Amino acid sequence: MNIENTKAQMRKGVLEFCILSILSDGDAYPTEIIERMKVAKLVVVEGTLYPLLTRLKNLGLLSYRWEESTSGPPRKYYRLTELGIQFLKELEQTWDELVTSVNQATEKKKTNGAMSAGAASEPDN
Amino acid sequence: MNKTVTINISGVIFHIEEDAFDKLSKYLGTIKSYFKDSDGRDEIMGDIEARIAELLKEKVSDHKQVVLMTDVDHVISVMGKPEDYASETETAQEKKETKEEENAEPGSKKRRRVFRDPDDKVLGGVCSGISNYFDIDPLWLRLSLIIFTLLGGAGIIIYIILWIVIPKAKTTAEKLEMKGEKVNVNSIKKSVEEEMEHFKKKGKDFEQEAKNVASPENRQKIRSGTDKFLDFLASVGTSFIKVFAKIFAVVIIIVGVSLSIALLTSVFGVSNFGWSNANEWMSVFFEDNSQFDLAIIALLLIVGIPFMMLVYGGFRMLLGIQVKNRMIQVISSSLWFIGLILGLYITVDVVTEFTEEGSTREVITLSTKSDTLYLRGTEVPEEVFEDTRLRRHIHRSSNNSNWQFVNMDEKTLRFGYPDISLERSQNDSFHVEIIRYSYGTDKKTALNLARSIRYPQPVITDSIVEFTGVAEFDVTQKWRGQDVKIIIRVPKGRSVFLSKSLKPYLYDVDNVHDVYDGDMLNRAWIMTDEGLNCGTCEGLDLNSKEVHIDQDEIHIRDEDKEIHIEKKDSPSAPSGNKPSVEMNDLNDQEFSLGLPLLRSLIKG
Repeated sequence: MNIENTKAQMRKGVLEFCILSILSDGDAYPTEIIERMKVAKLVVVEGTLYPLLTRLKNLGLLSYRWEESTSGPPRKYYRLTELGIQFLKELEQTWDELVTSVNQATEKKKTNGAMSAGAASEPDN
Repeated sequence: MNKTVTINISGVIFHIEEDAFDKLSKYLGTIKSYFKDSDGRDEIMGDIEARIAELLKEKVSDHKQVVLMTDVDHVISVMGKPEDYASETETAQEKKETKEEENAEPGSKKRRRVFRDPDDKVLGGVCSGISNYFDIDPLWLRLSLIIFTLLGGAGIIIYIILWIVIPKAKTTAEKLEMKGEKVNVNSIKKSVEEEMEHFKKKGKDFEQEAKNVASPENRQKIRSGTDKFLDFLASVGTSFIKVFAKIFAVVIIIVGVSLSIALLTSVFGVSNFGWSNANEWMSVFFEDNSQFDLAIIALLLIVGIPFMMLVYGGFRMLLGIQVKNRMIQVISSSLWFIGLILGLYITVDVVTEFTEEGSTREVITLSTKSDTLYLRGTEVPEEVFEDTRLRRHIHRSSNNSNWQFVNMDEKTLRFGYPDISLERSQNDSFHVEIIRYSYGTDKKTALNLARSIRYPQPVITDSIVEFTGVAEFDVTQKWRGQDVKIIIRVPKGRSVFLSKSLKPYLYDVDNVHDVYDGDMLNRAWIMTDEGLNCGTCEGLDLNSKEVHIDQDEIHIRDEDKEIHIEKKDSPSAPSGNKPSVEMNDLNDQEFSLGLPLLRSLIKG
């Protein structure tokens, strides 16, 4: 367990959430997904996206269809499945909760470290 | 001027400079190795190649037809360096592992497993553990275990094996698993349904893929289609194997337990089935009690340990216990080797008891002037035999004789039916020879043992000789292959009549016609130069064939036909270079044989 790995894992969980969110706006092929993620500075290189998509597809969250392309081989257009939509809803909820609690937790630490002693004694009651 | 290579990426053709090609193929190879363990590797690689094709296509035009090194560098910068994949796949693998764990235990509640319950135990907590698993009161299990123990000792073995096999619930998690989701018809149904659902899904996936493949599109899809199909086959196969393994495990346990019970009951003679008190019989065989005890221990170890391991392995398979118990492996295999060494030692010890043979010969000359000697034998009534078939078989076939165990008490062992054979007398009188023999560690012991066999002389009244069927020796002398043989010497020209009662005494008696012993009964046989000839031959099937085969010839002859085949260069053949085939019909009747076949055989 090193710091790089932790970062990668954190990013990964968020990445899956982002992919699902992007696809909820409509079907897309990997390059489109990557463009939007690059804008959001979430992904630096494209290659790492493919394994993610494949896994989400194998989990049944995504499905795909083939579409001819003028500039090269046919493209895979991904779309959310019913399960994917449901999954995304849950993720959105969890994300909101997570953001709130992470913000609370980190802010508490920053602002009043003295309070933590009092907070720690509370569960004893 | 640079050399270019033509490559096909995802169905698109590119001309690429050689050094750029090297770099690209190296890059793809590295990425591929990172995905070695992830599932869907081929699919991921296909997607990546497709994207690379797209990126390269943007870089070439009518003016610039060749892919250059800079283009490959561009592709790598967009797609990511191999290191970027490394961190990706590491976490992908972790994901995969957790996914598998989830699959193994679906549902919110953990599936129930068997543990020994340390909180409610009498001995090892086996009964309470099993009753936790099946939701029954441990009292009933304990009662039935006691009953099984009283009935034949099987209960103890089963308990000990289960004690060894079933792990103890140590952690809280294990204790929870011990009382986890109920195992009943519903939960079994549920798990079967889950399996079925899984199958259906796999099947559908495969159907979908097959449809895609059917449409003429590019090859990645075909590849992933076959992947899916293989996946499907694999999951069906695994389930079959799992079910089969459980059934197999139950069979193994049943076989192992019954073999162990059979072994114990035969050794300790606690049961009344079939052949009991083997140890009583064995005590006549072994030198002393300690040798006998060692032999029993050796037998228990050599045979018993594999049986035990069978049961142990069966339970492990059935309960799905993965943890290896090295202690048990080491202990059982070393015990087995100790048994083997002990067994070898005793075998050598016992074999030396049979190394030397000794015999005594008692000759009785008969004074009768009658031409025919009548031979009779008393038959040992069936009820005198101890009803143990196994014993009677023990040495029946070993010595090419009529040896049969009759019965045994504390002092005497009785055995039956001396062999009677008929030979030519050297003078004009009938003689009866009684030969007693035995084996022993040395000549002297063997001779002493032979001498002490008690077998009464036959009762002779004029021309009638009647033999006794049973001989005996003292149990203290041990069984060392003691046997009695009788030779009747018949002068040439005189005959013997074999009465029906002699049946169990005869074993392969030589005669001119090669008639079986059974057919020799109730007839008179005359001693001739060639051997015994039937005096009253009616009803005997004498159509015996004479067959003679050696290096140079084959000669087959029966009553009225004769076939004679001689080798090519046999000195006695009429023409030196041809094999001769000669067939004679001795009765001048029509006689045919597959002659062409025979000729072709000889020519070949």
